[in-house]
Amino acid sequence: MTKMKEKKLVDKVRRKKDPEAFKILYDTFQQKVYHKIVRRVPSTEEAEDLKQEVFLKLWNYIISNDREIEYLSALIYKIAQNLIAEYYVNQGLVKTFKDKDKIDLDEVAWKIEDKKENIEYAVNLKMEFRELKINLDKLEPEEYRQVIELRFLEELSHREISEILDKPEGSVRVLLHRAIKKLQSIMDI
Amino acid sequence: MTEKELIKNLKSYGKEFRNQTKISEDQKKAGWDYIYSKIQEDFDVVQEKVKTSFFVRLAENIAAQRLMLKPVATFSLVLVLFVVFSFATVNASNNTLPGNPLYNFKIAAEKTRYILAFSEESRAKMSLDIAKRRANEFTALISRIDSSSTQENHNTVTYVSDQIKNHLTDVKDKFSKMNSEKNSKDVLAMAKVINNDMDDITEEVSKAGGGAKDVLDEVDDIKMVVLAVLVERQEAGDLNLSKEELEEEVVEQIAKISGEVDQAVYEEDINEEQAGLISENVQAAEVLVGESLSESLAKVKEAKGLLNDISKSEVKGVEIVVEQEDMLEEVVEEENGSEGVTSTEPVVQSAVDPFFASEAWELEQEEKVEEFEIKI
Repeated sequence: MTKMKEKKLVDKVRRKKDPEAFKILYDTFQQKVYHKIVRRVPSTEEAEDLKQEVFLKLWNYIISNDREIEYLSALIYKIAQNLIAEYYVNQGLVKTFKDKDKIDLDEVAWKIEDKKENIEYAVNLKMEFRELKINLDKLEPEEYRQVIELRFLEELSHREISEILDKPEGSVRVLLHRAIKKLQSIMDI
Repeated sequence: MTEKELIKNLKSYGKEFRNQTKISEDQKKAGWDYIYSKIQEDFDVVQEKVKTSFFVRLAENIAAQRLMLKPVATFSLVLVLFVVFSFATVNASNNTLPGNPLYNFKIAAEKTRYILAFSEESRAKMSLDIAKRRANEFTALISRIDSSSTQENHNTVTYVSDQIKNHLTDVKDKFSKMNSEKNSKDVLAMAKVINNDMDDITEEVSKAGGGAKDVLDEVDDIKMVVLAVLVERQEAGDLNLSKEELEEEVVEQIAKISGEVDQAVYEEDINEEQAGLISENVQAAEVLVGESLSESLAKVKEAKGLLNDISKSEVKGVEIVVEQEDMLEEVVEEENGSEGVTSTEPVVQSAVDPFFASEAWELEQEEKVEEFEIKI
């Protein structure tokens, strides 16, 4: 979906509270949001619930906020990240979370401690990919893992990744290249 | 493990992951129903009242009355009544659907307006307008289809769908003609109108779900044509559009065809090998985005054409029998050194060039993949 189209739809939702316009946004982004969430929670049911929550929050954000949304996909991802973080806090998987009760969508700053805790992924992967997944989970720093997941699992374009990570597109390409190299070195050990 | 192998594994892993976590249509529908129920209280549903035209009521009243006037006055009144009644009928027919007695008046009025349009541009706009009306009818008809619907009901839906496609084809042809005759300002203005109306039609027929695929394909086709024209004119320096926005549109087309290829594999319309063949063009289009948008779009078009041909061919990618006697004679003559030996046996020609199946081709593909993957 182009930016022009996105802006047009967001505008329709904001001004007319148009459910059809919002449905188009929902249909466009729900699969990607689900991909992001399902890797981080133990069950598909919880992933589905969180996904729905993302879009309810998005609706409320659009209709109650006049601020122009420059990158809608980045906003949706931030909402999803916040909800995942809340989930971890509620499940007792993280010890501290800054401003847990008042999530400021404009300033996402969250840290998850012990992120390598044993959260079983809901996806039942084939054996050939398990080793890859294990090594991917070990990849440091976190942005290396993040960029690989965004590119290969969620199949986002470089432009979309640059919006989410708030980096220039060229930097994203370099980051990706470095991340792959690092992963390769881990797998060769 | 080489970098190339790792990238290949990551792609396969990603594909496996996405296949396993794909949201089903039922889940999508249930998901939206839930969202809708929650956001409903935030908006008012505007009930559109069906307004009864004043002229329809007038026509009904006049028709019910007996007139006892002099012949001339009577004739004048009849004429006035005829004009008024025609207008009233056409006006009243605006919201009718196929099967309604007034529907024919609606179509007749549309055809009259189309014929009387003074330029190709006006006719293109008329066709757009008519296509949008048909789209509304299409959605209304589809919503009435259920298990008790007859074959006639289904045929009516198909008829309306065909009408949409016909008018969209008309728009496409007229726009292409405009591109060769008109200046950039007019072409750009028309392009904007077309794009907006395509969005409206997409929004409308998408309510019909999977039944609107043909129409949506036609809409996509027109958008490609419009985009290709804009890109061509931009690169020739005739237009001053935002390069970033044009690039985004091209990238969206690439993403769309990529998705269509995946879908075709998933639905087993094409096999992996054929998908690979098409994907070459898609990958080339991706690489060309930074260099030349028109060349990138050309690759997208090639990919679409290939996908269309392969998915629709009756014997998919195996063999097709070509019977072209003249060409065959020429080929045989050439091979036999013009000895006049001819054959009229049909030539069995592989729809997938034998070269593709060879080792050399596989090696060539590997090199291309390597070259491309370095760039990611």
